[in-house]
Amino acid sequence: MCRFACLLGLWHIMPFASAQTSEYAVKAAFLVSFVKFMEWPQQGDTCVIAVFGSNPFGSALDKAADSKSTHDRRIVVRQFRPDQPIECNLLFVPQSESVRFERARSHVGRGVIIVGEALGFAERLGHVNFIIENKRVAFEINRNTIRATGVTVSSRLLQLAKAVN
Amino acid sequence: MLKKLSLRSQLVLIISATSLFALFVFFAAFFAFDQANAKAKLISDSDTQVKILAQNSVGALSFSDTKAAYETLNALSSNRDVQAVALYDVAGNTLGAYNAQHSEAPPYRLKQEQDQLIQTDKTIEITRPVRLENELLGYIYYRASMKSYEDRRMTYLGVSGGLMLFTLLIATCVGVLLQRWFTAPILRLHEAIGRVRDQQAYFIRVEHLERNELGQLIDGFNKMLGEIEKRDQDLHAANEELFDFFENAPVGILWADAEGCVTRVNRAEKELRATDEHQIVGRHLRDLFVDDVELKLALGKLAEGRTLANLELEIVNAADEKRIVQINANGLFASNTYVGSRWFSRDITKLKQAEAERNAQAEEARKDKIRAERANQAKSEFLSRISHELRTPMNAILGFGQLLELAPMEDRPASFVQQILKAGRHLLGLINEVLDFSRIESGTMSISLEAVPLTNVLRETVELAKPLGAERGIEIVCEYDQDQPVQVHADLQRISQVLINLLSNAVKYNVDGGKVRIKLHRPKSGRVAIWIEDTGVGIPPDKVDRIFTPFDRLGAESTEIEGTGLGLSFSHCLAEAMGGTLAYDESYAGPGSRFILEMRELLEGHAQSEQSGLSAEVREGDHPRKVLVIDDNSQNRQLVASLLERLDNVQGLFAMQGRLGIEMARFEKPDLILLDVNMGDIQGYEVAAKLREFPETRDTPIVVMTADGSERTRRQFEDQTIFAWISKPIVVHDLISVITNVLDKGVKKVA
Repeated sequence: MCRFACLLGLWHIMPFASAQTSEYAVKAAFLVSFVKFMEWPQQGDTCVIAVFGSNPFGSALDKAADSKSTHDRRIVVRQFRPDQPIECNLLFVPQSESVRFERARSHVGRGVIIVGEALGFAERLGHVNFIIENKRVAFEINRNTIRATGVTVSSRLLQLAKAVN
Repeated sequence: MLKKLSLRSQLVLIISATSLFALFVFFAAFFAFDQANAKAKLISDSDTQVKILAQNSVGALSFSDTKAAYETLNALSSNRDVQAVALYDVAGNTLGAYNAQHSEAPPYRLKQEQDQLIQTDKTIEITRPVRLENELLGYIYYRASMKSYEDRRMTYLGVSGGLMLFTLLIATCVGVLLQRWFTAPILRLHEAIGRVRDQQAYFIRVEHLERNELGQLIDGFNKMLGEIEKRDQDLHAANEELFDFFENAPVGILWADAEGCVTRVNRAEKELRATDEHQIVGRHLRDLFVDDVELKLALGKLAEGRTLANLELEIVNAADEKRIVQINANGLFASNTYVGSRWFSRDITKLKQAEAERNAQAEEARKDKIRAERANQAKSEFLSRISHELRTPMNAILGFGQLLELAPMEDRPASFVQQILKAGRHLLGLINEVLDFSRIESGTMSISLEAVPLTNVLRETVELAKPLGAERGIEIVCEYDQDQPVQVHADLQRISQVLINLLSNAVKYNVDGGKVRIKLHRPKSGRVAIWIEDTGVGIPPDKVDRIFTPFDRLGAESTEIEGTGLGLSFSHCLAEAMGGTLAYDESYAGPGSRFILEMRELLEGHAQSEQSGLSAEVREGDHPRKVLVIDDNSQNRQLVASLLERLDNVQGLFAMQGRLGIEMARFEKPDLILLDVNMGDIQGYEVAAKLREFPETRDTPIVVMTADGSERTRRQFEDQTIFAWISKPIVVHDLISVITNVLDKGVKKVA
């Protein structure tokens, strides 16, 4: 555990050293952290994070999921093709797949939190959207839509997020 | 030290100390409890705050949100206790930090996975990892100052001190008030006790309003004082009485200590010593008495517990007077230890002087008495001798006068002879009375009691008195039964004397032609009263008590009635000597007076010769009767011879000496012997004794003739049987009657 922490710590500094690679590492860590602040109805002990379309994380997301899995909740990462029916708890839509996702949006189940990284994504398609502020990764949450999903979002997460209507 | 303080201070001190101590304990306990509580609370609060902070920082740490971290940390800035707070990410790098002014900044890096709480005097430091679902997110550092806790302690101490001071003030006030309520009466009591102790002021009373035990105490004290006061007064009174008794005792009292030094004296003692107290008190007893040795012995006795009773000691007082005191003393002992002595002294100087004087007087009186007795004896002897000497010539005068009277004579010489005889008899009566009286005075009067035929004696005396009465026409009447014989216990000669005296008085002091009555009464059994009443002038009541006084004639000395004033007095004495009484009957109404002679009656007496009549005659006999006369006086012999010649058939024999008389008596064997008492050769009683020795003269009656009728003379003859006594001068009738009486008996006897 300590070793992981050390590794993670080291890794955590990295986005500020190399912006291109570290941005997704941060976003991977954020995705995994989002899970911790959310509670799904009829949730088992496995929580599934899915990436829509092409995976921009490389292995970073898997590593983050591994590091943050606890024996209460195992975090699993899956990849979905755009035509596949999507079954997961949290779906990340990379910026490149945003247009394609507009079509597949209706296939996404009601209790899935959709995280995007395109401008205005949270207002139009999803619930959470990564943004860059002062060279730091931040996120915004559409409180109206996310409430409709039936997923309970921790107020502490809501406090950190930038609100979007 | 506390014990030395006054009750008031003690009370205040105790109340204050107790309150202070209670408060102190309370505050100390409360303070300790509160401090411990406050500290625990501070720690707990801090811990809670850190926990909340940790929860609140989860988001900031999860997303490395510095801004959120700062916001979260800044929320603590309102807590003034918080000095520094910091958040560190999982790598130990500061994510956010906050520190208050003037306080140390939190550490820059921190990696501490365990909860840590470090508490120092001034700060509390908490380090805590922040986790989310067991995932370590980072660390939190928290440091708060303990200043509020310190402040609280100071505040507490200040408030406690203030409260304590306030309480002390209240306690002191209460103490002072209590002192006023509780100690004030005690102080009053204390003051009263002081006054009682120092001034003996038992009259004071302590006032109070209390109804509690103190009040009862004071009441008790007052009551006790009252009791003491009463006792004190009683004691005082008793003391004064005792002192008065002591001081005014009629005997001298002094106290001495064990050494014998005087400690106290009373007034009588001072007077006895003629000095004041300072001169006696303190001196040793041996300085106060003359006899040192006696006093030493006395003190020794007292120390042994013995008493001195009526010890007579001599003192010389300050006035240089010698005094004799009678000492009664006793030792004083306290628990069996001799502590002194008490001396009672009585001045008996005067008593002693008086005693000496009395002794001298008694001695003088004894000498006087002896002298008087001697003088009286001389007087009696003189009277006796004189009367004897007077009567001897009277014997001759009267004897021969009587013979002359009997002889035939011419009228004229016969009247002369009668005058001579009358004068001679009167003279003899006077001499006899004086003689009798002197006998009574000298106590030589002799009385021989026998049975006396009272009626006979009365008849004879009446016969004697009748001629006297007849001269003045006075009748003597016997108003009693003259045939009834009455015998009384008396001396024949003396009772005759008394009766003659009474009758002659009744005649002498009667009126001419008056009456004399004689009556007999028996006032009670065994007594005969002879009443002799006259019709004279009587005796005035104021002179009644002098009736029986010698030589007192009750005024009759101024009359022509002759008398010595001895008759009644003498009769009175004689009556009493015979066991009878002679009294003047004051109740007699009169006229005249009544004398009562009361004698003892003899109911069965000896037969007494009935024939003692003067007129008895000697009967004619065959041979002449011989009468032997033994007398050395020739005149007497001649007188008796002349008298005997006148009797028929009587032959007179005469002896001029005693011895001759005895011889003649033996030879002649006379029928009667007439014996004189005083003779030249031998005395009459010796002659009588000799005569009784010889058988031929043993039964011959002897008649003693004497001019000296004294007891002494009679005693000389007491062993002899004497027929009769004839006193000189001889009364012719008497002698004749005696002679005829004897001779008649002799005839009878012979017959």
